[in-house]
Amino acid sequence: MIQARHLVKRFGSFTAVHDVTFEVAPGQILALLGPNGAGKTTTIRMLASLLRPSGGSATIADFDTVEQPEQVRRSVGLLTELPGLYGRMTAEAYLAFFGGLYPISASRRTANAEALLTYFGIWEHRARPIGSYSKGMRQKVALARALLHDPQVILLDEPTSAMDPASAKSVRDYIAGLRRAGRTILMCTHNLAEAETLADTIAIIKHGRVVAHGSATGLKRQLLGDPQYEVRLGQPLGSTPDFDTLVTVEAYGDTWLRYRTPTPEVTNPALVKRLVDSGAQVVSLQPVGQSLEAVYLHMVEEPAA
Amino acid sequence: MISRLALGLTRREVRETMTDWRLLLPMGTLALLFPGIMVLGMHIGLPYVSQIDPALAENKASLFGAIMSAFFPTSFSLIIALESFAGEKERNTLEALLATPISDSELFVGKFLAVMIPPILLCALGLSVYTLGAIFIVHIHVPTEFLVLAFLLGVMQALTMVAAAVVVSSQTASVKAANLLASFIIIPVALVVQSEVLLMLAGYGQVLWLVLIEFALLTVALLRLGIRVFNREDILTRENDEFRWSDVRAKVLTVWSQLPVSAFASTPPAPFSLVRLFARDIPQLAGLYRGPALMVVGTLLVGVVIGVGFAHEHPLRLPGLDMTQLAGTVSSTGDLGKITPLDIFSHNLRTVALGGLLSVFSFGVAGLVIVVLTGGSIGFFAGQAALNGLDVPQFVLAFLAPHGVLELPALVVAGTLNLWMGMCLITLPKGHSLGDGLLVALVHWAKGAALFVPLLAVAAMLEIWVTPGVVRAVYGGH
Repeated sequence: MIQARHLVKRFGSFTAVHDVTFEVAPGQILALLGPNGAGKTTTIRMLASLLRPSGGSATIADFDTVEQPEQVRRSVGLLTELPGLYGRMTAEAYLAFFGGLYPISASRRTANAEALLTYFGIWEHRARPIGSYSKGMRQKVALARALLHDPQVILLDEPTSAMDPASAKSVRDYIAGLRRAGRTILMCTHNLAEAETLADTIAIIKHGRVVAHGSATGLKRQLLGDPQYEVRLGQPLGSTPDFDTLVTVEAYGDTWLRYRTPTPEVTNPALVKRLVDSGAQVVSLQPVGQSLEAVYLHMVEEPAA
Repeated sequence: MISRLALGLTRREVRETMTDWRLLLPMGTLALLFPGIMVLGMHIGLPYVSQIDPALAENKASLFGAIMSAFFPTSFSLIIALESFAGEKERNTLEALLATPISDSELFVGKFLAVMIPPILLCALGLSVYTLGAIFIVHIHVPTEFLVLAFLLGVMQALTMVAAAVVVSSQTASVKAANLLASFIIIPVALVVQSEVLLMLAGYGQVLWLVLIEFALLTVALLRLGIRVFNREDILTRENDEFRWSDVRAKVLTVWSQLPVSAFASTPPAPFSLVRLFARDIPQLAGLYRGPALMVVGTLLVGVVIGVGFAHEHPLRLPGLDMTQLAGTVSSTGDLGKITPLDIFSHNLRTVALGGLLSVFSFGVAGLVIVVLTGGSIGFFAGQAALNGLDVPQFVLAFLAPHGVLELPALVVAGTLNLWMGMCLITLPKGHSLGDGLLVALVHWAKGAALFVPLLAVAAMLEIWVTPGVVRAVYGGH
């Protein structure tokens, strides 16, 4: 469980994080989105007991990040923004070293390392110096380092950066598996599709403040209005049926209609039925213009409050 | 007791150092080549030197070679230390380490040991090469005591440099900046090594044991400082070494407006006024620096005792001493009479300021030097007065009391603030940087100056315009 309550971090006169509050329950993923310099990494560092908050408080697995930093660091697996690996060490030696810093037995450490390296496809390369790895492989080793001690809480800063699509997918699958296993996960990412796919809740942070917080669907509805759909027809309608009692029409042409509806699961079938009944040939019906990207751009391009 | 985590870290770093040929090559060169050159130099040069002084080879040259053979390899400890702390920060490998359960002190101890082990091994290797060369090639015996002393000096110098390098590294964001600052470490240590050689050549080899103790004390002070300034937040967030006057100015103004007792707290600035300075700030400073003030008073008294002892060791017998004539000289219009209050005042102020500046680089020791010298000169003259049959209390009252009544308190105040300029570095509150500590000490020095500068000014006027009159009144003369 992660709880952040009114977190503030100041560096001199600059406030990097301002009154940030959120909660992540076990088995949930929170995606922290925001432009570079928004305060995401600083927030993660505070949660990992690397930085002391200037105000507010946070608990990780019921440990206070200021009062019980060592317990917090034992409970957390942190993937840092940059992999930060020792290039002259082999992956095997590297994980053995980091595993030794956590209170887990040598046999479990070895087994975990083998399982992680095998899953990420590095086991065959484990005896090579990390410096000879590709960027994606290094990121995977860093991820293995963060997960080696089987932490309850996982903080991931850009988990799939520098990875090819196949590797990124394998990492996303692994993260989804961790969620199913009941781990509490917070991740920072610029990959909005990844956030939408994985996260239960999304927090958009801008100039150190959380400017939007909720599920992807909830945020879209809250910020972009009711879902928008477009129906395309095979030929122009002879007479226009009365849609206004059913949906809010945004725009239309001879062979298309764009509308909003708060209850698409009810209104979409009714609308299609009405069109078919009036002799129209429905070619397609699809949602439009309400991606998480639209939400994100809407929030980060707004002037700060 | 060193923890398992610290030892794990030490093992990793030592292995990293000892398997890097870029480090091994110069380290091996320093440990093998330089002692070899020393042996070769002695092999060629000693036959000529022995013609002048046959005992020189055995007693002095062999120790010189031992000191150098031990110092060269240990000088490498500085590079390993800078690499271990600032280098790891620069390569972004430190954050992952800081995110583990290892504590700040375990991290410090683990890295410190890792940095120390290779130079100690190299020091032993260098000395072994030298000793074997001296025995089998030069055919001289190097006394065991010399070897032990050279080894201990080498190790202690390495410890001092590493402890200082840790402090330097933790205050910079890059290896480049740390390397630049390292000049402030290697140059003084190199000068000390030269002094060691001079002491040894002058026949004061035994004094090197005192030098060893001095290095040990300095190392303890630096280690204490290192542990204080070593905290993960500061290391992680130090992004650049850019110096901005505007930031310094803003910080100075903030600390200046804060009451001394809340200098390290993040309390909002309070309105400042001259009334507040004398009614609240200076009394608070007196309370805060009570301990250092007692040390200064104690040092002054020790200085007086030393001065009296020195007077007895070097008595100035003045059988025909005419105090009436002396009193006349004091107030004459000769060269002495050309000294103005401004001369005295500016001299005292310069001395105090220089003491403060040097105190920063000596953990406060230099701050006490002017105090002990003042006490020493009082004791010396009082001692000479006693030896020449004068009434000591009368002598002190006439020559010292008129201006000393202000000058000595001013000296105690200034000496205390000077002492703190150096001590602040080893008593830094956890989580604050060296800059924070120095800034607060400097601002407090400036606030204290509001008290001791006027006292010194008035004392200087009294010394020129009143003291001679009192001397004349007591002893007669014109």
